[in-house]
Amino acid sequence: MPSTPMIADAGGESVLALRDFAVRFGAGPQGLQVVEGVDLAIGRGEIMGIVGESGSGKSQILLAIMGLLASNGRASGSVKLADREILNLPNREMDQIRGGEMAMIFQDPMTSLTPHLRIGRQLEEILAAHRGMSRKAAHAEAIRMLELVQIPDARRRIDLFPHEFSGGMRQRVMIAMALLCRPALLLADEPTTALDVTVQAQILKLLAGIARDFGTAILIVTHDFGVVASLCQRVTVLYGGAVMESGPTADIVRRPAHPYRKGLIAAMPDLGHPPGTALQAIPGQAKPGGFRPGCAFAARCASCEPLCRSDRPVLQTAGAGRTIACHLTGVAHDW
Amino acid sequence: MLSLCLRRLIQGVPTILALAVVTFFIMRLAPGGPFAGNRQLPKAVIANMERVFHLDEPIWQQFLRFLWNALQFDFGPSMTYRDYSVARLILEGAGPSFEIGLLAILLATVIGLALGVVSALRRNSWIDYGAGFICVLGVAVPIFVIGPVLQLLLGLKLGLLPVAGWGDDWRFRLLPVVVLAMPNICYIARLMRASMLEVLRTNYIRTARAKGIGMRLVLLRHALRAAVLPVVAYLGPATAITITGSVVIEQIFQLPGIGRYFHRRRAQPRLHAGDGCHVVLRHDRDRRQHADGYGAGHSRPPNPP
Amino acid sequence: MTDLAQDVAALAVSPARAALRRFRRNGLAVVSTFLLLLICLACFVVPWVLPFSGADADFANLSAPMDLFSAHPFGTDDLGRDLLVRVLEGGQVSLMLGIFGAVVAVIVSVSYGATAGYVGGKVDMLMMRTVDVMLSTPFMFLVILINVMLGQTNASLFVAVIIGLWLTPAMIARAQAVRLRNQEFILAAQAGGMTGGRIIRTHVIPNSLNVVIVYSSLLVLEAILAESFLSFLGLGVQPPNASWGTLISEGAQQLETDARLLLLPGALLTLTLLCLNYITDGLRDAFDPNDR
Repeated sequence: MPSTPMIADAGGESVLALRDFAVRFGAGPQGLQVVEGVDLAIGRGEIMGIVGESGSGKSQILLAIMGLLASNGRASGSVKLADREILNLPNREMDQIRGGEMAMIFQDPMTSLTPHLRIGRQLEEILAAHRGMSRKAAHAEAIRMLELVQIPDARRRIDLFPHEFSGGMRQRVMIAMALLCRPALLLADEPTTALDVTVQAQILKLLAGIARDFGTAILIVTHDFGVVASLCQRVTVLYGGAVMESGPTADIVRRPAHPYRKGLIAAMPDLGHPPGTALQAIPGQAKPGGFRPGCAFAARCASCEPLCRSDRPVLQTAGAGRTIACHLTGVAHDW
Repeated sequence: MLSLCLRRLIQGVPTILALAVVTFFIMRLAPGGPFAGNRQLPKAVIANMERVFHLDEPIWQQFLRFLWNALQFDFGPSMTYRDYSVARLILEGAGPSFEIGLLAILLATVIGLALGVVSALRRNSWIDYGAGFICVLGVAVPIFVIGPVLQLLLGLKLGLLPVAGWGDDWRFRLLPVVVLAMPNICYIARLMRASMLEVLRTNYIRTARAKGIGMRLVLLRHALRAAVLPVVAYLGPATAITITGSVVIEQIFQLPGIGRYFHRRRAQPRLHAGDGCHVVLRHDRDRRQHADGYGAGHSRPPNPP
Repeated sequence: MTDLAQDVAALAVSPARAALRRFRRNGLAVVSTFLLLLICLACFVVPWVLPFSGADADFANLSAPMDLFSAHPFGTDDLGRDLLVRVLEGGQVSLMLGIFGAVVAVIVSVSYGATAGYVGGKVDMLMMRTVDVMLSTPFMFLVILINVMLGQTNASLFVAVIIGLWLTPAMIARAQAVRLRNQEFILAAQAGGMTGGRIIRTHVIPNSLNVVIVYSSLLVLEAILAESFLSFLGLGVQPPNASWGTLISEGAQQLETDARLLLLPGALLTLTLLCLNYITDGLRDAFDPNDR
C-alpha cells in the first residue's frame, strides 16, 4: 500500500531517490516479498547507511537499484538517479549507467574479482567501455586510481592477478574499479564485513575521503552499527524489509525512538556495567520475508500492543529530519 | 608452462612402461602360441621358427628386445597377415583411424560447447529442453544402434550418404564422425551447461556485470574462460571414449583403420599386431591427457592459491 | 513452542523417506521405473509362457513379416526363429549381466574406495594410483587381456564389465570417505575403541549411501551398455547364447535385407537405457538435490 511520501529532508537536489520501493521474488501467493514501502533520498556528497539484521532485505535494495536482481526478482516503485527514472530499464541502457554514473562494491572481496584476469585488465575494461579510452591511456589512469586508493607500488601491482592480493587490498581494488568513472553514486554492500578491524577502519576512512573529495553520494548497507556511527551522516533502519526509522545518525544513536533500535542499542555490551550482567538480547529471531499484517517487529517487541499486530505503522515525521514507523511514538512511554 | 607439459609427459612414461610389461607378459603366458594353429608342424620347423623369433631366449631378454624394438616402432611381423609387418599394418590403418578420431573429438568439442553455452543462457527455454532431450538420446542410445539406424535411414532409404566404405570423398567421413562424436557431444554439452550456470552465479560475474561493460564481454572474457575448464579436463576421458568407440565405428562402416585388428584378434590368443596397437593408442591417449593438462594450466592463473 | 522447535518438528522425516518422496514426485522417473519393470517382466515371463523358444526354428514361416495376430507377432528371421522371443531372451542375458554386474561392481568399488579413503596415507595413494592407471587404459585393452587370460566365456565377460565399471565409483566412494574421516562422529567412534574395519562398515559406508545409490543406477546403465558393446564386437556373449548386443550385431549385418532384426533389439535396448537414464537423474535429484 502506498504511503504518503515522508522522505527525510535531504537538503538540496537528491542524487538518488527511492519512493515506495519494493522487491519481490517469485510470482503469486508463493512469492516472497523481501522489501516493501521504502522511501529514501541521498544528496551529493552524503553518506547514508542502511542498517538491519541478516535477512532484512538490505542487500536486495542495492542489487535492485543496480538492476542485478536474480531472474525471478521484481522491483517496483520508483528509483530516480538524478531525476531520471532507472527502475526496470532494459539491460543495454543500464549497462551505460552501471560502472559509470553509478557503481557498486560488494561484500566479499576474496571472490568478487575474476580470478583469471589481471587487475589491470579488469580496471581498463571499465575505462574502455565507458570513456572509450585507448589501452595505454586506460593503463595509466588505472595506475593513478590504484595509487589514489593507496595501493603501494601500483605500477608493478597492476599486472598481478587477484589472488596475489590480500583481502583488504582487493577491496581497495574494487573501490578503485568503482571510482574510475567518477560516479555520482556509490553503492556499498557490507564492504568491510569480511575484513579485519584495522583494515576496516582504513577502508571506511577511504570511503569518507571519496565522499568529501569527489562529492560522491554513498549508500552503504551494513549490519554493523559501529560502521554507521563512524561513517554515515544519515541512517535508515530496516527490519523485516520495512523501514522502521530514518534520520541523522547522531539523533538515532543518542535518542533511539523505535523499540527495535532501543533493543539493539541496549543489547550492545557496555563496559560500564558490572561484570556478570546478562546481555539484553532481543528475544526471538529475525525471519526473512513473508509480510504479515501489522508491524514487522511485533513478534519481538517488548512494548507490543494489539494495534501493532493488526495495523502496519506508517512512517511519520518525528522531529527534525527524522521519521519513525511505530504506533507508540508520542504516547507517554519511558523511552 | 613448458615445464608443466614436460613434467606431465615424463609422469606418463612409467605408466606406459607398466602397460608394455603387462601386455608382453600376458601374451607370453597365455595358453596357446603363434604356432598353435591347425596344422601340426614338425618339431624341427618349430625349433627353427622359435629361434628366428627369439622365443628360445630367456623371458627377460625377450622383453628387453620387445622394448627396444618398440621404441624403434618395430613390432615384428604380423602373424595373421603374412608378408606384412605389424608396424606397417599400424601405419596403414592409422590414417583413417586418426582422421576419424580427431574429427570426432573436434566436432564434439565445438558443438558440445556451443550447445552447452546456449542451454545455460536460455535456461528452461525450449532450446534448453530440446538440447537436453537430444543429449539424453545421445548418451543412452549406444553408437552401435545409432550407427546402423542412420545407415539405414540416410544410406539405404534416402541414399544421401554412402552406407559404408572409405575414399577421398568427404561423404565417407560424415556419418562415421558424427556417430562417433555423439556421446561426447552430449557429455560436453551437459558439462558445459552445468559449468556455465555455476560460473554465472559467482560473485565475480556479478561484479563484472556491475561494471557495465556489456553482457557480451562479461560472457566472453569473464565467464567462458572459467567455465570451459571442466570441459578441457574432460577431453582426456573423451579421447578414451572416442578410441573405444572407433573400434565399433570402423566395423560398422567398414573403415580401413586400426580398429579392425581388434576384432579379428580374437581368433588367435597371441598376436603382435594387438600389442602394437595398444602401445600406440595408449600413447596417443597419454598425449591427449597431457594436452589437457597444458590447456588447463593455460587457462588457470600461473600460481594457483 | 519456540520458533526453532516448530521448525524442527516440521522436518521430522528421515532423509531416506524425504528422498523417496522427492523421487516419487518426479513424473519422468516414476514412469521410467514402471517401464523398466515392465521390460524386465516381459523378458523373463513371456518366453516362459510362449510355446516356443528363441532357438526353435519354424521352417514353415521363414522370414515372416510382422503380424500382431499371428503366432509370431513380430515375425521371424531367416532361420524361422521367432523374433519376439529371441529379443526377449536376449534381454534376459543383458539385464541379468547388467544388474548383477552393477551390484558386484558397487560392492567392490565402495569397499575399496571407502577403505582407501578412510585409511589414508601411503595405502590410499597406492590404491588410488592403481585406479588411475586402470582408468587411463583403454577399456578394449583390458577386455582383451581378460579374454586372453580367462578364455571367451560369460564369466570373462562378467569380469570385464565389472573391471571397466568399478573405477569411477571407487574414486567417488574414496572422496566421500575422506570427507567423513575428519568428522567428529568418526573421531568419537575411534575414541570409543572401534576398530577401523568396523568403523568403515558401520559409519563410513552407510553415510556414503546417498552417493552409492545414485551411482548404482548409473552403473546398471553402464553395465548393460558395456555388455552389449562387447557382444556387438564379438568379444562378449558367444553363440548359441544371444544378448541384445549380439542380436544388434547380426541385425546390422543384415540391414539391407531385414531391418527388423536390427530395429527390434535396438529399440528395446534404447528404451531400457533411456529409462535407466531418467531413473538415475531422478535418484540424483532425490538424494542430492544440490547437484542441480
